Amino acid sequence: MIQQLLPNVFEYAEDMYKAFGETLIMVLISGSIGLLSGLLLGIILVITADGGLYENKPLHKILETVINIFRSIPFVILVALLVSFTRALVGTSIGIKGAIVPMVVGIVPFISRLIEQALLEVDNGVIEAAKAMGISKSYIVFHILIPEARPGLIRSFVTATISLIGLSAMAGTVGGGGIGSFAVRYGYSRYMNDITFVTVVILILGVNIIQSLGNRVAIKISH
Amino acid sequence: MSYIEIRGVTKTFINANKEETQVLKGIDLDIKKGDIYGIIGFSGAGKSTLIRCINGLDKPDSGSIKINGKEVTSLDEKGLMLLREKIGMIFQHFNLLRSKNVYDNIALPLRYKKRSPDAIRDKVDELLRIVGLTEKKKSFPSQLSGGQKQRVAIARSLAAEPAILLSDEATSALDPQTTDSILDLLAVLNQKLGITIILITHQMNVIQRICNKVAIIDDGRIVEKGSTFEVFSHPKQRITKKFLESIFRAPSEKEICELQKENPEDEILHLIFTGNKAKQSVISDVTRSHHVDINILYGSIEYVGDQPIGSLFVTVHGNPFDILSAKKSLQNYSVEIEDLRGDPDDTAAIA
Repeated sequence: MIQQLLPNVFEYAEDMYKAFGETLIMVLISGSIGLLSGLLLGIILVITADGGLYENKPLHKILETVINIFRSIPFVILVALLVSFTRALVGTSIGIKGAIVPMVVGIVPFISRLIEQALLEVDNGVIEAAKAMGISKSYIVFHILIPEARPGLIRSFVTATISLIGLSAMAGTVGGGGIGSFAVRYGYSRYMNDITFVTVVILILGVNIIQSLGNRVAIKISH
Repeated sequence: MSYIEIRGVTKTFINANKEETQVLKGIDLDIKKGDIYGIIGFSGAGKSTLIRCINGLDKPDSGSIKINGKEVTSLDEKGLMLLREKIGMIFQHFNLLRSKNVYDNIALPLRYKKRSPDAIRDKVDELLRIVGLTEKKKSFPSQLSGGQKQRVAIARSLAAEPAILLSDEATSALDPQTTDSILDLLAVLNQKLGITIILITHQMNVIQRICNKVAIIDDGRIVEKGSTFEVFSHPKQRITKKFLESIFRAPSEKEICELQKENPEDEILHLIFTGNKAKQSVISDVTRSHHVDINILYGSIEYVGDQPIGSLFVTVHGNPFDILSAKKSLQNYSVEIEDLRGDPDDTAAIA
């Protein structure tokens, strides 16, 4: 009976698996690169801010401006804007490889802001106490600031990963492959509504699983 | 030369609107080794900034702070870090790491110093015993009461075996009983380990309970300082008396006004008795021999260290000559007398 309700899903099942695989790869690769660079930038944002451990107004200002610029460009436009850059960097502007570059560029400013927020949530008094103990700044960053922000950091990672799934779908429509282009190609262009429907259900499930896993980890490590 | 010598320290903060506030306006203070020195003031008086200047968390604009003869205001980053290892600090909100349990919180400064795991374990266990939290070793700060958190913070501040402990309103977030137990712990540390303690507070009972010296800070200046007993028994400044009202219950201005309206001839006095006089029958002696009536409004005896200080708020009724001679005779008993009656015009205005 399910086969009757969702005929196309069964017919194109193999393409669908492949599309999900592509999305997974895109999210994993751009996610790892994005999280690492976002973490780095977020930390730099916080420690160079006014009253931060390594206060540096010019650097902070530059970083803020660059992040704001990239955050204000809609992703679809960013993909187009970066075509030559992407081609220069990975040799192609289409397919998985071609999608990952704009995905990283698109997500890093967002992640940096999330990480910044998570780090700012750390009670300044704790940093003060560490300073009062004569502990060095670098030790404070790595052994106090980051560990104290862990629950918030995990939540940022989760939010960012979920956004990346969205970006991957958009990247797909401009030639990146993955679940986005699959849903558009079959579900939208060929009116195979069952494919759109199943894709959406799977995405909802996936996002919820990621979110609740993230929440559980965040709760477990916050005391 | 005193152990900690503060001379002419000033500090100005500039806020986001470029407005300048001079928080410290020339502070002089001498603290001896082994003192428990209390600095009391209302919020905004500058006491927090002052204590933070001692370990360089704030840098004075001018003036000098010498600890054991060594100038600290000119230290560079490295020098400050070494200095701070020898100065413990505790805070109003404890400032423990939420992500670490009691043991790891106390071990933090030791791990930073790369002590061996054995040495760390021995030291942390010893500190846990001192603050009485051995069985809470594995608990996280969120599972502890305020008093327990402050004990952990105290243990942590002692890990590097400091010679000086700075206490920044450490009991202000605690209930009265917990406050007392934390203060008693500080007193024990002072006696057993010989740690010099500088504490700031806005509560006079904190000063009364453990401080041997006190300085009153108001609007960036030290307005009165001395031994706690001296300041409690012979308060000079208005603000000092204001703080002492939390210790010795005093009639309100309204009460004084009304009393004065009822019996304009009566004198309203605050009498402070010290030493043995606090317990003697001075009042009945004076009443009997000078034919005056002394009516007690409020009275109490408080101890500073083990010395009693008696405080009486009284009205004195009688003919003016008798009152005058009664006051003379009280002074002969070396009772501190303060006339509480305002200027008649003033009181009329208030009434």
